[in-house]
Amino acid sequence: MLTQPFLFRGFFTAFAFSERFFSLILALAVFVLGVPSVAISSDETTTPLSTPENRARRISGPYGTLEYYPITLEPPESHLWAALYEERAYWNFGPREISVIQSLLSSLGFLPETLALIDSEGKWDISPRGLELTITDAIIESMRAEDRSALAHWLRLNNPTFFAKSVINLEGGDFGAFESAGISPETMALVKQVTFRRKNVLSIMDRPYILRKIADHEEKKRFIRAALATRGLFVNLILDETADLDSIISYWSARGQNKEIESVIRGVAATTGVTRLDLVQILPSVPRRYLYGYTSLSDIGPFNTPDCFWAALQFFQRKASPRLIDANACVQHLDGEFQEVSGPPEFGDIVCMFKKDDNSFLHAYVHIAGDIVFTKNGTSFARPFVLTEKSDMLSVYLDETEHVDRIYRHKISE
Amino acid sequence: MKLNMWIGFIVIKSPNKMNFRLLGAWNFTVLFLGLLPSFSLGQSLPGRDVIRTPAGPWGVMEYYRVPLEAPEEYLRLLSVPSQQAEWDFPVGGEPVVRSTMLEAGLDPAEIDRIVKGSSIIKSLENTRVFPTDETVLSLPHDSRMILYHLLSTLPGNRFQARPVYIDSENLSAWFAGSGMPRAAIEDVSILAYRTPKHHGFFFSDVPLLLRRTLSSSDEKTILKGIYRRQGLMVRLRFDRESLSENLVNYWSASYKYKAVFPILKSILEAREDGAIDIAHLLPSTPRQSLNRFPDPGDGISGRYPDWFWTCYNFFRFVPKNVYADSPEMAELLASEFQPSLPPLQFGDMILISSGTKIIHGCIHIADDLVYTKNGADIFSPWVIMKLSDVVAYHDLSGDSTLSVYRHLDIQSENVP
Repeated sequence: MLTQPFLFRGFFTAFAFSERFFSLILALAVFVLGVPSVAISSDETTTPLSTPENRARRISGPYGTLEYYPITLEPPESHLWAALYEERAYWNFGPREISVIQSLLSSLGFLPETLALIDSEGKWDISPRGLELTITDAIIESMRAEDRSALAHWLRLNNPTFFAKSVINLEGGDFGAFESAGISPETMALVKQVTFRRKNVLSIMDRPYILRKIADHEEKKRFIRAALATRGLFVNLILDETADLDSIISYWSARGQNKEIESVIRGVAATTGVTRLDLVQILPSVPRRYLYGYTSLSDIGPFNTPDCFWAALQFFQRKASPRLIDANACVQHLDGEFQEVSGPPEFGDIVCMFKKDDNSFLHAYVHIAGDIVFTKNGTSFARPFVLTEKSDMLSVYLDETEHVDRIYRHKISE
Repeated sequence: MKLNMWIGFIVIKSPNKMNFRLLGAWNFTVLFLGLLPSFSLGQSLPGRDVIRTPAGPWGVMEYYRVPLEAPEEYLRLLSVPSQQAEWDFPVGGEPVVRSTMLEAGLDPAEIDRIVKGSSIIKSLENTRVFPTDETVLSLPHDSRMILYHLLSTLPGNRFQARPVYIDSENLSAWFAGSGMPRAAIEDVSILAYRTPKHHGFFFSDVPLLLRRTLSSSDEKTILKGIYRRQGLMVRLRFDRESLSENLVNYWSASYKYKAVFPILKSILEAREDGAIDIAHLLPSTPRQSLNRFPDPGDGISGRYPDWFWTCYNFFRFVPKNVYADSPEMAELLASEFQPSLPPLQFGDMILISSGTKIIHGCIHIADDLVYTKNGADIFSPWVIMKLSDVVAYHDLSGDSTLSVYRHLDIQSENVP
C-alpha cells in the first residue's frame, strides 16, 4: 500500500468516485457528450478505400498454418522530413572534375540531345559534398529510363550516400502503392515517366521534378507517402481443430528462445469461436516493439541509425541494445553469438546476403516461416520494421548485384 | 461443503441463498453458451468464449481470456510453503488471537471453534496459529471472508495479503489446460471466498492445496496452476462503415511511431470484415510487454516495474525508472498529467485508492478494458483486463475509489 502524495489529496477529494459510479459516469458521459474530443491527428490520410477483395493467402508447414494478407504502411507525418520535399533537382558526383563527369555521362550512354541540354542548361557547382550538377526540367524530360538506370548504377557504386538520398526503390517493384494512394492521373503519369528499372528493382530518382510539377501540397504529400510506402503483411496463426499444437509450439518456441508463447497458443486454441492468433502475440519482445513502426530518434547514434542488421541481430533479445548500432559491434556479435548453419532456415534465424564479387554485406533479415520474413530495409527513417514476403523485400535489393545467402543461428539454441 | 457441479464443471460454492440462486442460473448460462460457437453480447462469461463490447468511439471490440504461465525457471525461485496453514497474529498468545478476531467481527462461537482446532505457538515476535485442515476446510464462507481480510492486514500472512484473484465461478474453465488435479480444483472451490465487493473471488489457502501433492512434480503443477495469470486478447472489429474519422482519431491518440489509418485501411482492402489485434494499436513500450512476465533483466536496476512504472511509461518510447514510491512520483503526476473526468481517452491513467492511499493504477484502453501490471513481482505480467476485475483484485477492503489523470501533452518527435 502506498501513501498518496499529499499534493494530490485535493484532487482526489474533488475527483475520486466509487468504482460503481465510475462505469455509470463513463456510460452517461459517452451518451451525453458523444465522442471524446481528440484532436485530429495530422499523420492520418483519408484516401478512399479501394474495393475489398479477399487477398488472404494460406501456407502450411512445421509452423502450422499461417494466413496472411498484404498491408501498406506509410510513414507518419513526423517521419516525412523537410528535405523530402526539396524541389531542386541535382546530381552529386563527389570529389570529381567537371570534365571527368562530362565524359562519364557520355560513356553511360546518354543521348546527344541530353548531353547538349546539360551543357546549355545544367549548372555545375562545387559544394562541400562534392561536384553537383543542377538539372532543369528539360534535361530530365530528355532522359530515357536506361539513362537513369545507368546513372543510378554508377551512383550506387561511386557515391552511395547520394544514391541513398536521391533514389527511392518502390516496394514490390510496381505502382501498387500509388494506385491505392489516391493520387491524380497526372501525378501517376509523371511517376511512370521517370521511373526506371535496375534488373528487378523499380526506382525513382527525379522526386524533385515531380514535386515541382505538382501544384497542390496535399497531392505532394500523397505522392511522397506513396513513394515511401512499404509493403507489409498481417499474419495470423491458424489454431483450429486440425492444428498440431505440440508441433506449432515447438516451432515458435525457437529452441527455447521464445518460451512464453505456449500458454497463449494453448489458451487461444481452447477458446470457443477463435481460430486465429495474430503473430504479434508470439513474436519476441524486440520485433513486437518495432513491428510496423518507424525508427525512433532514441535509437539513433550520431553516425548510425538502425538498419537491417541491427533489427535482425536483436530479434530474440529482450531489449534492443544501443551497442549494436555500431557496425563493428554487429560483426563481433554475429561472430561470437551466432554460427552459420546449413539446411532450411528456422524461425528466428538470421539470413545474411553477401555480394558475390567481394563478399561484402548487402542485407540481413530474419526468417519467420515459409516465405515470410522480418526486416528493416535500410537505414532510412521512412522505412518501417515489417513482416513481409521475401519477394517484396528482395524487390528493392535484387538489382545488378549478385549475392549469396548465409544462414546464422544463435549458438544458445544449439 | 459440497461441490456444485454441472456435468463436469466445477464451480465455486456460493454461500448465501440469493447468490446461490444466481449461481444456478449462471451455471446454466455457462453450459448453454458453451455449446454455441457464436458470440455473446456485452456480458462476461466464465468460459473461454469471445465477448463483444458495445460500440463506442473506439468502435467495437471483441475479447477473450487467455492464461499466461510464468516461465518454468521462475517457479524454481519460489519458496514452497509447508502444507500446514499458518496464520500470524500479534504478540500475546491466545488471548490476543481471540480479541483480534472478535474485534474483526467473527462470531465468538466460531472463534472458539477455530482456536480449539488449532495449535498456537507464542513467540516474542508474534503469535502463530496453525489450524488443522479440517478447521480451515470447515470455515463458513462469511467467516473465512472476515478472517482472511483480517489476516491480510496483519504482517506475515502473505497468502491473504495477496490472494489469488479468480474472476469466475467456473473453475473448470479457469484452470483448463493448467494440469491442476481435479482434487485440487475441488479444494479451491471450497476455499475460495468472495471479494469485499462480491466481484470475483479470492483464494488464499495455497499451503493447504499442497496437501494434495504426491510428488515434487505435482507440487510444480499446482504452483504453476495457481501462479498462472489471465489476460485478455482483444481485437478491434471494423468495417467500411465504421472506419470513421472518430474511430481513427480515438486510436491515433498520442504518438506511436506509426500511422494508424493506412494500416486499418489496408486491412479493409484485403478483407470485408476488418479486425486488428489491439497490440498493434498500443504504443511501443506496452506492446512490447503485453502478455509477458517481467524478465530478470527488467530488474537489473534493482527494481522490477510496478504499476506506476507501467502507467507513466505507457507513451514513452524509452521507459524511465520511476515507481509508485519514488520521491519524484508526485512531481511527475503534477507536471505531466492533469486530473480528468470521463469520457475517458485512450491512455488515461486510472488511479485506484483506498482511503487516502493509492493502491494501484492502470491505463484506460477502451470501453472498460485497461492495461495493467498488478504487482511489482515477476509473477505479474502486463495484461489487458476489465477495470472491474482490476479493482476487485486490488480492493482488499472494499472501499476503493477511482480517479483519472490525463497526460498533458504527447509530442511527436520529428526526424531531422
